[in-house]
Amino acid sequence: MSAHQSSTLPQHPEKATLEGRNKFLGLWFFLAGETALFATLFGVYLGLRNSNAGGPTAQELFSLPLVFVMTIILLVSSMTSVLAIMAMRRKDMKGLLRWFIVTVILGLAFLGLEIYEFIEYTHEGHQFTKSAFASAFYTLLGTHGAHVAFGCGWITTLVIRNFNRPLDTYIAPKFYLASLYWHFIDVVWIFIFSLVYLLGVIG
Amino acid sequence: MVEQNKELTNTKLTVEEEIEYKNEMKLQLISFAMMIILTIVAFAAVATDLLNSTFKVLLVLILAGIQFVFQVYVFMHMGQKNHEFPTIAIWTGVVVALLCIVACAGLIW
Repeated sequence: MSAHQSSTLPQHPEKATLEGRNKFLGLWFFLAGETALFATLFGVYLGLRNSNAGGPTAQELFSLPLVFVMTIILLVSSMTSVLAIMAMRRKDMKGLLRWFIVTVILGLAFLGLEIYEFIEYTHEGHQFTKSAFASAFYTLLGTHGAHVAFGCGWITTLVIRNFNRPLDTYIAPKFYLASLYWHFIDVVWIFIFSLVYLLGVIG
Repeated sequence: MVEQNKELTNTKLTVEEEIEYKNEMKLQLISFAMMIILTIVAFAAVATDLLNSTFKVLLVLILAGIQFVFQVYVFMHMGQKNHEFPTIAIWTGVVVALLCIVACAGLIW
């Protein structure tokens, strides 16, 4: 973090150090493992999605407008974290922080809608223990929601910790990895809205 | 630290960096627009009665696959250089995921 390093800050500061490159590889391997975690949950859900044990079916429950809004919110938050990394390419720390704050706000909005959705479902008799379909549904969606909540906490702590620090090759990987993780959350959501909601509505 | 700050705010991009930035920004914006369109198409296909169920299912799966590629290769920069290990890791993950889904959804229950 010497003055020399920062004055020649490269355009890809996240991969300028060995530590940064190691973190980068580590996070990608972690994401590959997460793929397997979510695969098990998707597999269980798809296997049990018609076992509703007399409770409401997917077709009766799901409302597409709400899911569409949640999808767009998460997609836009994915874009704002891209813009944060693009600000890093311009060596613009203020812009980086601003876009990450927007990302967190959108993530929290998504979580709020998801909580609202779950409360609605429980009122309609779709509780966790109601049926195999309900358990598989809440486990899959809940695990994804927990990832969103963790991502919000992660990015918030990064923003607070580095609020008054200059951008350098030490903190750049931290933000870059958080953005990768955030994109991965959106990747999982693509499959949730496709395989759970859209296929559920088709029947 | 103060001196470092001053130096950073004065950091200008070189011409090459500026070109790289502009090209990447364009790519990111195009892929974002594409993903919005794909999402709207998927929801519209399911919400309307223009297609039969089998075709809807196929369409939704294909659109999800395309969005996955956009997200991973553009937003997560896997299409850029020095991403050999991430490519191996993620596609291994996808293969394991497919096997797992087929086993759970098709064979066990």
